[in-house]
Amino acid sequence: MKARIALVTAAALALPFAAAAQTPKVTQCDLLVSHPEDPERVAPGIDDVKDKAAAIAACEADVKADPNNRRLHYQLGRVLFYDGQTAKAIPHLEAAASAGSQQAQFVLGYIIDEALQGLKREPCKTEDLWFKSAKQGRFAAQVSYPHHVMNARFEGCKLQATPADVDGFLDKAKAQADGYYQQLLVKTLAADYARFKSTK
Amino acid sequence: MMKSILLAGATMLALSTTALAAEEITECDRLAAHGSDPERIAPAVSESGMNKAAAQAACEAAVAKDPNNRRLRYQLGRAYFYDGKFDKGMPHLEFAASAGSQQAQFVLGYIIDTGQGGQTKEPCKVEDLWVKSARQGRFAAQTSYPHHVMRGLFKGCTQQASTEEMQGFLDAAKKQADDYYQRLLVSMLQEELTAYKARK
Repeated sequence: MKARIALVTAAALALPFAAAAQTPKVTQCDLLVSHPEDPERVAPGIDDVKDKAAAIAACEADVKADPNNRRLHYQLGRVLFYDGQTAKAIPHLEAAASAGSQQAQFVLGYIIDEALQGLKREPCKTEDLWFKSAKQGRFAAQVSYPHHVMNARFEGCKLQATPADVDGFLDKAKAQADGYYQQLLVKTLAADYARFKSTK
Repeated sequence: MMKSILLAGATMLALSTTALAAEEITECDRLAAHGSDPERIAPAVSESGMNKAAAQAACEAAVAKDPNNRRLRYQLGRAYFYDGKFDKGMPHLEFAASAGSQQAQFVLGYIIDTGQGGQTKEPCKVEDLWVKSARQGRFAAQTSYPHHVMRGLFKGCTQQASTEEMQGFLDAAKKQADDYYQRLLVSMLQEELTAYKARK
């Protein structure tokens, strides 16, 4: 459940990648595993993947046919992770994140940060993944990155975001915030970050 | 959109009021029930999905028949407010809040806090509405109340909830938080409250 919630986050964004914008073919994997908030999804979002075995089979076949497709790798990683097949899931999430999927970057950072399903907590890896995701416009990363900076959760890591970057993340998050709680969250973070900067 | 956001929020709670015992579902409920109102008895209607004129007519009729029904009064207020008829909406929201609707208590407090619809900002009224709503279990109030206290936004008001009670609000909110952002918000507020208590 926790893992599922971890993978069900973030706000929908415009498709910033040429690869995603080229009317991609909708596969069976897309139909069964698209994440509702993945800005690169090409099929209706599925909150709860009911038939995981069928979804895994479909995504494995689709990834085999199109091994460089980050969206399909993310979706295969997603369903394998939901199915508890963590060791099998991670390489696909890694592949998708490395290939530039902001969804995979945030999610992989999150599951590492939370050390879900036996993963090793690696703050500097989370920092790197969330920085990339936030830079690409992912709301979840734009709020989580400043939160972790202020709470010293990236202590010992090279912080890639400058204070101006963090302000930029929060400004963009403010523009994207959807609903009262997201607005309150961004407002709280922005006020806290202003105070945090003034004490530095 | 803003009005929709301000009238949205909160989590479902147990129906605890005697007023809810096997009530007749009216046309007002069908046209104006809020998705997050713990007292709603019909499927939710969003702002964009609401036929405002029809909802106002149905709710006026329902309220004429059952003038002390706080749910109907809230829904009538909601339908007017969405339609920009603030002067007509406010008395119904006030009635519902006074009659104990935690939804109306939070929403009315929010409207006053943000000066929506030209309302005068009255921090002490907001404090009073939100403490009542939070005590009844409303997530939005359980998070917004401590947020405002810690930022001095209720300065000059009698603060009805002690620091310990606010801790209780956040503990209860943590149990209700149902997505990543809500959990992050509660976690941040809990961290802040710990620091706030230490400063006191």
